[in-house]
Amino acid sequence: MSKHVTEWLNAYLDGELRGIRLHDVEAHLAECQACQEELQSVQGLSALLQKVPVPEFTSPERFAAQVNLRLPHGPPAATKSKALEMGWWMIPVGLVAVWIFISTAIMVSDMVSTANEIGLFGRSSAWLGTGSSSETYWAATLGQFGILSGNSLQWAEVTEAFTRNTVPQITWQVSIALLYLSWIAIWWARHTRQGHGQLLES
Amino acid sequence: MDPIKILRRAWYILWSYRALWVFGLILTLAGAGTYGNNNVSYQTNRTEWQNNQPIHPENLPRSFEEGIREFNQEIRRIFTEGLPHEGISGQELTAMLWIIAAFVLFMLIVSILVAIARYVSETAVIRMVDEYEGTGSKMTVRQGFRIGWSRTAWRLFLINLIVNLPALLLVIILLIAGVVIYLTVVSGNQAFAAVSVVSMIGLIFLAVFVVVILTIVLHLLRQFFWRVCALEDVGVSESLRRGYAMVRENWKNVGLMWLVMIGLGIAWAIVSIIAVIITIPVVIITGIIGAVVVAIPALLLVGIFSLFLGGPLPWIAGGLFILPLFFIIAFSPWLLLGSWQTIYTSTVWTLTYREIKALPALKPETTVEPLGN
Repeated sequence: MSKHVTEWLNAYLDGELRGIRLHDVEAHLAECQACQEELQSVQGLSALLQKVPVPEFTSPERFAAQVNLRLPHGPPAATKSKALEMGWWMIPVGLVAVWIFISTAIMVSDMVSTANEIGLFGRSSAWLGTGSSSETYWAATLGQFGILSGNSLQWAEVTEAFTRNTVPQITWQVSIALLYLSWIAIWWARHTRQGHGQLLES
Repeated sequence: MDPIKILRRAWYILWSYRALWVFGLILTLAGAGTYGNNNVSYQTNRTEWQNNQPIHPENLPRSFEEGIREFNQEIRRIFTEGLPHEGISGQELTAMLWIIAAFVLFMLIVSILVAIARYVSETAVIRMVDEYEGTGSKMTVRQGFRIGWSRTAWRLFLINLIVNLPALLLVIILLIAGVVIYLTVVSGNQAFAAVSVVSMIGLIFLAVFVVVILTIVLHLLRQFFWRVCALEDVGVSESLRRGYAMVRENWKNVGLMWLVMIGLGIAWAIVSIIAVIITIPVVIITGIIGAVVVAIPALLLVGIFSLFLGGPLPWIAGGLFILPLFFIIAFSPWLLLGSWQTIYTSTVWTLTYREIKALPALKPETTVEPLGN
């Protein structure tokens, strides 16, 4: 008797065997009692499985979608947090941009004033007032009332003009510097706290 | 990347690696000591000029052209007649002019030497810090000069030149705008002149604003261009390419570091004002030392110049040549402060560069090994 064909029985039952292999299996089954019994057993199992109701199949995409639906949702919070984070980083960038803008405006204004004073614009710049009359308003008023005169009036005028020009420049630069330093201090504190948090978590 | 860790490490390196201070002094002397080279101190001091020199419109020339003509006439008169009330002849003034020309030439040579020293020092500082971080070994000043004196120093100069091109462009734009305004004003058409003046002012504002922002970005990129060039020993174009790619890939880290460095720059400005006030007594002492040191060379120069100059001119000419040396000695405490700041900034950016270079190696592996292998 030839070698048992149990390994081919499933394929034989499903009608997948062809040619010599099919002939060999059929010839062996005709002679071998053990293989006939094995074939009957496989047929019985197949019949039993066919009686069991087929479960509903779920595609991987649908499964993933269902899992996603059941996960806790937080898109509004995430967007808000992202916007806040973005705003936080825009503070120093905005301060730098403001500083550049004001500095540029002052520089161009100085250039225009200087060019006007040396006569580069000729007579076409009557509208470019230097505003020097308003720079010594208080000193001039005190001079009109006779409170100041001579050298003291001159000193008062120089001091007032200097103060009027310098104080605003110092004020805005110091304000921007302080705001920037405050941002740095808060960032530093946040960063240090986050670092400690990470250490505790680990 | 942890910026605070980098700042602390740079602080430690600044105080523990004294050989770097020498290069910092050279860099400060060469004028490379702006904080992070990012701050733009281009604001003119209008108020002082206006208030110290009160303007009387009636004394001003009627036009720019007239002013130039008057100035030329005045100069010609001075050089022919001299300054009789000061006892200085026209011939002596001409000799003084030659001495000033010699001084300009001397300063030009000194500037070239200082520029060479600057880029050698930049290279040395970057490589010394990198070597210290990599191997833990400190170099001497001599070794620093040896590693700085290389083709890289020349490349750093070229990179700096490229980075500063927008500023050159701005100067050209301003000159063109000035010429255009002048030409439209002298054309006689008042309405056209007013319109062109207004539009030119707008154009100048826009140009200055854009160039300043561009310069800030390029100066930030320069930190990486220089480090790629010095530490990877590559050419200028390759440094620009790799440096830009590095910043683009890590723009968040670089941006954060830049913002922090601006903040430190502001803090440093406040601290330096206080430090300058505190160290005034020290500067007085170094000033006295400086005066003693330069006294003999100054007297020698005055003696030489008095052979062909009269009145106060030999003293002026002598002072012209000797004052730079005096200032260096007198203000050496403030130079040292500047050198610390320069070294700290350079070290921070070198450490940032190293950290960013190391980032891809620190990323966790994302490839999954197949089961059963």
